[in-house]
Amino acid sequence: MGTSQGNARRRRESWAAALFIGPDLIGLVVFVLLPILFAVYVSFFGWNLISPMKFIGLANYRRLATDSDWWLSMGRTLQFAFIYVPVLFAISLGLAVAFTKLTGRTSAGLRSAYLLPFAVTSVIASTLWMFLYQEKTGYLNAFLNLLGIPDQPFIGSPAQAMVSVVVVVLWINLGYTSMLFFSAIRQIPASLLEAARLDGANGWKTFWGITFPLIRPTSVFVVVTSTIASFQILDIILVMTRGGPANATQVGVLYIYKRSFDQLQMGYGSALSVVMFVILLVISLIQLRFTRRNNLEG
Amino acid sequence: MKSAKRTSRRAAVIAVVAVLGAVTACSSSGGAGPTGGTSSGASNGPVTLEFWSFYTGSEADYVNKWVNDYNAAHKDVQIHHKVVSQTDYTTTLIPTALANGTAPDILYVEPATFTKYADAGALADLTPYYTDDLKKDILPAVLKSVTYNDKLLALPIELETLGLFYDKTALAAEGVTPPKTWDEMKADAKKLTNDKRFGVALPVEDTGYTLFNFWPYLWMAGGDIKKGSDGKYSIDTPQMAQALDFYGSFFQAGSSPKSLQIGPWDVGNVATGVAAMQESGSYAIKATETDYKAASIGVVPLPSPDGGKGITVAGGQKLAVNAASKHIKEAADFIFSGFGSTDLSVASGWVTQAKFAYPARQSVIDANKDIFNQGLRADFTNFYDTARPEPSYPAAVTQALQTALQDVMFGGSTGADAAKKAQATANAG
Repeated sequence: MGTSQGNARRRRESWAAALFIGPDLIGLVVFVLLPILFAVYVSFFGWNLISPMKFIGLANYRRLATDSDWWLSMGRTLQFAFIYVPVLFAISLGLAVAFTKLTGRTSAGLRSAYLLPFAVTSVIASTLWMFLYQEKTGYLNAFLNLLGIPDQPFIGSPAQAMVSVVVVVLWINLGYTSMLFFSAIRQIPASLLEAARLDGANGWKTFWGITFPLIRPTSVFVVVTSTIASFQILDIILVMTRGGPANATQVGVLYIYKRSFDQLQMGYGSALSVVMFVILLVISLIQLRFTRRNNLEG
Repeated sequence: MKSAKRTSRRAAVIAVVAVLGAVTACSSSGGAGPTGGTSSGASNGPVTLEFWSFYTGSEADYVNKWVNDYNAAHKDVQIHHKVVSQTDYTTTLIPTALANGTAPDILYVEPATFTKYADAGALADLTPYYTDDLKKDILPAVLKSVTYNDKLLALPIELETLGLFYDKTALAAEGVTPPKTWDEMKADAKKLTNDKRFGVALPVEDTGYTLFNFWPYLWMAGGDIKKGSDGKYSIDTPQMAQALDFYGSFFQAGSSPKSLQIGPWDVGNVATGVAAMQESGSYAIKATETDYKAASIGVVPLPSPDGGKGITVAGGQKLAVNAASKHIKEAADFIFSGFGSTDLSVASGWVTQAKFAYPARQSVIDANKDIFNQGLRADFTNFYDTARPEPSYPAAVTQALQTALQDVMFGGSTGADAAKKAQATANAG
């Protein structure tokens, strides 16, 4: 009797699990897995989206190997990642530590304030920052003028455009990432920190000796996801600069977008996407492997 | 125990498959065939044609009225009108819809998309629906712009030309008269630039719109892009270098904003004081009479190198029919009833009420002479005969030219270097 009741309950649970997982699984297959497989398939064809596809074997891949504009755009993606990931990591970790030192309403208020930009859609955020960046009439330049610094072109300058875009992406994501670190730090047992203090460790030593190693899983998560996000950056650049000026912000995904839709080279665009996918996969695996090894050694 | 586990696992799998099946069934019932258009029509019911536009405001209202009037007068054919975002329309939406067989029966094309779609065989041949009178009524250069391999693949509905808008107050305050030559335009732009304002706003982004604004300068320098007998396009010419140098000079001198907060076509750049002068089109006139009524805005022809009669460019939308449509005849009847008929009401209303543009047909111009001589329209009408239709080139050529413009604006390149590079990229194959 007991066993049969148990079986019935397990059956019900399995049904419930299937119903909960089902829609997500379908979404994953339909919107992620199938498009990836289709992109791989299309990458072996010449296809302008409208005429019938023409099988051309590895020609798209041979072409991208010598496409200097593609590799330049990948270089700009790396440039974005090299600025964005460390700065995001450092500032949001610093903010999280500061949040833990504050108490009560100040801490909650500050956390909410930093999280607010995360709720703003990227297009709105981009437009807002374009107002701020405007030369001669923008608030940011008005502020610089007060400090005696002349007007800066920001997104209108090949030298400043990438950093200007990174600032917007940071503005959006700092609050969220600092919340991740904040939660991780709050989960460290107080007894460990107390023991360190009794042993005479100062705040700096406690941070490097206890806090930082113990929040490693969150650190890895932040580095991996922000690296992936860097490689996928498109919407903000599309709104703010469309890759300009003079291609200074033409990152890899934008190059793929332009090839695929502006020039209707869907086969070539798919081959570029596949290569980017492989690059991202390799970077993520290296990051995960590196961390796992550190964890084991630690 | 084991068997119970297996049963529940099987149940879970069945559940997942059932939901998947349901979703697939839902999606397939609403989809269209893989190759056909989206029109439908049972043997005894009316034919329904899909028509996608991207207009907003008075233009959208006008298109809706046209569709509703047509539907009321035609019980056997019904037009289903859908409005989508303009950015999506010209980039991802139509190509992907053409790819998966869900593209509308009736669509708008412009020079950039016309060639792309025509190259791909996506546009139906409309030659049989053109009467001889209609062909004669349409300005010859415009008719040529919708001709592809001797076939007429679209119906032009408007012409939008470019001019130089300026803030009358700002120019008067600096004692500047609107420029007539290239040298005057450079000098005026510099003089009108101060701490709070730029001299002249020009399009800056790496887009077809920037190229559209550049064509008149190339033509005024005596240049053009031709396809040689070797299949290569002639871009690296002294005239191209001269025009590129001219366009880039405003950015290198700091007289033009290097990024624009509002669209480069929006005359608000002059009205709100971003710049004292701005290159924009006849489509901006309506805003000067409504949104920016308080500003004192004038317009002159684009300056020419020596102050002689300049050249402007005429863009504008054309209506086309999807080659995969199952009802090409009905779709053609709809667009020709509006913009190709001897009844000029729809064609006239479009360029005089919905918006301000020039019609593609002489008869429509003649029928609305008074309107074309009101306010800033009179200025545009004065140089209307200097317009050349926006040319249409393969994407590799237009992208190479857009890059050349970026190079002279921001990359510190000379016109000659940028033209040389563009020649190589455009013809790289």
